[in-house]
Amino acid sequence: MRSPTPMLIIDWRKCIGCRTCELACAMAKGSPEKLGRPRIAIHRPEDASIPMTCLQCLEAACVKICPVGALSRHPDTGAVVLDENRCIHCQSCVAACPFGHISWAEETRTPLKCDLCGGQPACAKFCPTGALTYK
Amino acid sequence: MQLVIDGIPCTAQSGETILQVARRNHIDIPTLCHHDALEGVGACRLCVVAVRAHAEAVDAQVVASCMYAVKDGLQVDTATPEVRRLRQTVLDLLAARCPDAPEIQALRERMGGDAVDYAPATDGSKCIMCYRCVRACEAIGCNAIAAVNRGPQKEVAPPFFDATQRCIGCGTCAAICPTGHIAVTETPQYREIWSQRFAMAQCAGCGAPFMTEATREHLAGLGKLKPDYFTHCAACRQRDAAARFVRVGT
Repeated sequence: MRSPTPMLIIDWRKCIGCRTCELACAMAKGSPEKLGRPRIAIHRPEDASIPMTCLQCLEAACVKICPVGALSRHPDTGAVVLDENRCIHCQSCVAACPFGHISWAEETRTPLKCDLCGGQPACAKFCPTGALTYK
Repeated sequence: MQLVIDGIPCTAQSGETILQVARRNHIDIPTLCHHDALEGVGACRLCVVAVRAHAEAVDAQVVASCMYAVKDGLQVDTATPEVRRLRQTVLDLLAARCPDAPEIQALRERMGGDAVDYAPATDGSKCIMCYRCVRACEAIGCNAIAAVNRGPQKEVAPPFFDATQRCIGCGTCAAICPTGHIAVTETPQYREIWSQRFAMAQCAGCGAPFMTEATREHLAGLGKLKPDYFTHCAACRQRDAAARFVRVGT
């Protein structure tokens, strides 16, 4: 089943490991004074570079495990998004993601995951080689 | 259905609470015990509002907006003198109960009025009896803590203040507590909460502690995901997944 909404496509063969996506994400998720924590990370298994971020799974483990329905699919962007007002900070989603794409911010006691920047992902916008595209 | 809150006409669905409708319409009602994901219990009484059955009705009734289901034609006032006075009393009493809780002081400053200073409690407790911890524990499916005793002696605790198998040491109660009342001690080997010690589960990849053993058993036991989901910490899972993706793609 293909998602009817645009998708963030990761073509790791085009990734040169410049980590611009991490910086763009940190800026998008931060404030003018302070960078946020990036929701994307470049990994370097063997000799490759691969950007790793939430795949917005259609049958998402994080959505399944959340005991209070705080994670749900956004109807417009197709992203699995967190309703921070519903989150009870149990970290089940952090434990459940099979790809480790949800991290934990101890300062705010909230899980951090990619929300596709509300439909305009900063990582794809700034990726210089087209390894990350949103279409 | 239609109702009026502070003179603003609002549309609502049957089963919604006054608080839900007010917040959707950007009308501010202060709360302490309310949480979007947890069932309302009306514990803090800070969200009280005055309601009248219809526009011509004279008699107003004061209700907790977090629990009061809306009715067609309801007239709601969120800041009558009586409502303000009741909220002030609630806050004054909470300030005396928990002199060290900054949330209470901040709310008192925000709401203004003539605060009455009751003799502050000296037991150092920061619990405001909002039951967020109790309700979150219930939502997780553990029901390990509840209110015990009555009156000034009332407090939240596990049964008989003792170690209980229902508690998995997940720490959600402490994380959701708005005043930081619930103490958690953590070392790489164990986590201590509610005077009970829980062994930490070590990540099969890097060896770092990432949740308690009991939490891992609980999550695996839910049957929603395979048990082997819960063997590695998030960082190791991401690293392993990256290696897997690259191998698949070459």
